[in-house]
Amino acid sequence: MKLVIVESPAKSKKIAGYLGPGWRIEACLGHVRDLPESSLGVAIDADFRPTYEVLPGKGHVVKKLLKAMKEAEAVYLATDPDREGEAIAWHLLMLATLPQDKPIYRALFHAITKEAVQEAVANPQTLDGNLVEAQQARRIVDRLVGYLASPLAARALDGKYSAGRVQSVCLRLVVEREREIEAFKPELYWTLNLKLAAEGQEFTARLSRVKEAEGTTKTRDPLERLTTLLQTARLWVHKTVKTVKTRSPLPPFTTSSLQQAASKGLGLSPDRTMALAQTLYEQGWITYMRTDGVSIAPEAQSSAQAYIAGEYGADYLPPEPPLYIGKTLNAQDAHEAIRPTDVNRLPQEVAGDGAALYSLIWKRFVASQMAPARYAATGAVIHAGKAQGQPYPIEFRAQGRTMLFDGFLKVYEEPSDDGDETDEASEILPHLTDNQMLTLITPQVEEHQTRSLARYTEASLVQALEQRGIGRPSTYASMIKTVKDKGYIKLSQKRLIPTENGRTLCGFLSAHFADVLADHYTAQLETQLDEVAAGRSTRLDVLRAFWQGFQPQLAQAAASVVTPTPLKPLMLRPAEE
Amino acid sequence: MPTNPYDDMPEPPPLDDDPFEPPHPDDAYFMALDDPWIPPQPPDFDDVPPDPWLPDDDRFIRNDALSLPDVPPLSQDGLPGFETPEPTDTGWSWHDTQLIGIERPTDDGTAYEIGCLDLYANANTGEVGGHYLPMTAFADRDVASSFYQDMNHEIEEQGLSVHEIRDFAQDKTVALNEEPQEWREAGHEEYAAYEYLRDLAALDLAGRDDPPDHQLEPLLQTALDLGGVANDLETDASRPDIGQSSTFEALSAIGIEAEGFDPAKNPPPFYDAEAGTAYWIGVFQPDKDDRENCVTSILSLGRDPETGDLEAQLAPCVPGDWDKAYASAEYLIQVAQKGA
Repeated sequence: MKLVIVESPAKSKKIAGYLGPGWRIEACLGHVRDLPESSLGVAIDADFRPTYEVLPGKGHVVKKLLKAMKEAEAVYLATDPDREGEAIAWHLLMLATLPQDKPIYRALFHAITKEAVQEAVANPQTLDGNLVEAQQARRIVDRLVGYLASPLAARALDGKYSAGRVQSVCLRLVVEREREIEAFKPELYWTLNLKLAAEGQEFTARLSRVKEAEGTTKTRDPLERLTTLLQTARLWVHKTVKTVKTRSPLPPFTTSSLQQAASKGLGLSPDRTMALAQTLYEQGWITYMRTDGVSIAPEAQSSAQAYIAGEYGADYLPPEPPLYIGKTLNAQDAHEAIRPTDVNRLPQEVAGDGAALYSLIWKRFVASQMAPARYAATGAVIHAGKAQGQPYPIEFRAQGRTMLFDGFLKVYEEPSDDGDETDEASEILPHLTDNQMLTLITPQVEEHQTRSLARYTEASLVQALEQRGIGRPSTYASMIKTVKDKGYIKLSQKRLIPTENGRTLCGFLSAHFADVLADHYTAQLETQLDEVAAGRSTRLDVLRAFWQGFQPQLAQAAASVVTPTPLKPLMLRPAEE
Repeated sequence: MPTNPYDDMPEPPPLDDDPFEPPHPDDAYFMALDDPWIPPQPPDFDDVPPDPWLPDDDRFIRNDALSLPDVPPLSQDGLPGFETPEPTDTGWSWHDTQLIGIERPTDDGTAYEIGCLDLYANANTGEVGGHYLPMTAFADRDVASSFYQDMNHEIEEQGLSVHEIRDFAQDKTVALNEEPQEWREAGHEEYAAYEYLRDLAALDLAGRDDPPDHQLEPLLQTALDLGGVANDLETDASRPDIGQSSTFEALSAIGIEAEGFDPAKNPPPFYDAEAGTAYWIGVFQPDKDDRENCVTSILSLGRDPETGDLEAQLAPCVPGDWDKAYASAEYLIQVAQKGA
């Protein structure tokens, strides 16, 4: 009997079916061993040696798994194909203490399909020690920050505060954005639009320049005077430009882009998105959902091309199959993008989050393999003057576009955040020629106000984290969930607002652990961990470098906690007779 | 360059080691009613779903079971040229099976029931739902616990995978009862027992670096040590146990108005653990009728070694007017703090 160990029991039945008799499938339910809850669990003086113990409540599972591993003729460690999965497999191996000649393999299931499972066990690998080392380094760093900064924060702020490493960075972004909004002073400005007509067809042009200045003004009067002048002026087309513009599809989803689109389009929080995606993965609908890669397996690309050609016609295929390359800072790019395991399993019209999420993944994937949309774009520069050829020093511009070919938009349009401005509003301009005379219908002076940056949505916060290289596909959702659950930030009208406790904690952490919370520091640490994962650096290198930066801050924070508060005299009065 | 510590792992088997021939989809094996993976109740699959292991959702989910809010489908669903296919019923898939224990109130007290929860998850909605089979019940909690452990031990001994526990529980129930109960829709109590047993959220380590409350003090000490700060922090445990009422009585006994003085809010800045005496340096005693007649003292609170009663003593240090006495109190505190 051969044993396959996966993380979730939900996969075990399908995998058993795919592998047939002679295979036993067991689930370890995620991590089985970790640093102790009751102490730091890291010996700083002994090269940061971690102490691990079986997680509370996991004893029964571990006992069962170890017995199964001992009995099996071969063991396939098929935990999830990422650093955490690699570490779980390693911990199981360490606990099992199996004989040297016991065949032990690492099987990577990037999708729970018959082909992927059979391929993974037919071509197993050895455990990737570098990935395990990187996971351990991250684990130790997170523990040192969480278990050393939290008690200092709790003592200094006289309350229950906890300071997770990446969660605190997440909190800082939200607090800083709130401070920017509070400091922002809105300003009024005015614009001038002209409603014009050419051969009976109306369109709008906006004032773009007055002499050498922008067309917007900080007072209303100049524009009002201009409208008076325009009542008696002549207007004509100075110049027209026509081009064909294309709009290309976005690459298929990574974890981050999936969380953003699901938040915008479906109103799902990142952690809910990941829970649903996990179910879809375990049931064989989609590929592994924790990824920052945008590449696609050749066979999946071929299937998509065949589907598109059959369903929409060859016109909807690009001349060459697209090749997507990740642009995100610190991307590990180890996995494929998130895509349907079979493009022919179409999305269903079912009123459920999971179905909607699958639909989103399916559409974005199919769209990513389709031809760009094409538009005819027209721009016109309009002059005004006493007579044609004698323009005032002002310039108006009008632009419009019409769709020539819908391309990928036949299948998918990226959802947008509520309130976000899009450039989709496109006016159709009439046919205009150079020097054509125009009729002024009405001038419109409009008042506007500068707007502060918007508060983060969950989607835009994930995007901000990814852009800064903070966190990884496996951590975006839990970071945001943690700071929400702890009450440091709250959701109001889909926007994230820091609470008073969140501001207080952020203030303490910014004052004492500013470097650890800095974007560049966090991103640099992620890079160092990637170097360990790639075998170009060691866990000890990373931990020593981390401690060198962290310890002085710890010392400063600790000193602030023990400095006694100046006492005031205690006042006691003689008792009344 | 670091070396991979796992290089000495055995090599994988040759590619042709196991052909892994999958059964043909038309094979009767896939649809056999005695297929161990097809839930025996109900066995009729009128509309054969693409995946033979997927049950009909009506039979596996309660309308109100762990329902999660729905959101409207994506706006692009109605894009021209993209017709939504007919709905199919492939959302449900087996998720987990566990033996669980539940306390149930009865006319005679409490029954401790052991049963099996067979859980399904819906990929369309994210819901979970399932069936529950009561296996047996006991009046004694320890006996029930022992039975539960025995059952799990037997599962281990037989090397059963999680998805085989359902049949195991079914067979045991038949063997244990003359009139065995049937599988029924699981209720909130069963789901709660399952969640307790296997917290699905525990699949990752999120929150494991948030120290528990009772570890904050020892970890604070660790943080101070690692921060290189000499620690004289007074912990709660080292503070004297001085109740407010006994303090009030002790101060009243020496003619002092103690109203508004709470030793918990104004803990003694200095404490002689050996003598068991707490000191407040720089206690300001104003005279509201005569601002020229104030005094700064040292207050001590300690327990009489014989009676155990709290005793207060005031040692006057600097008499004078209000400003002088108050400034003297501040000065004494400053000197004492520097000395500490």
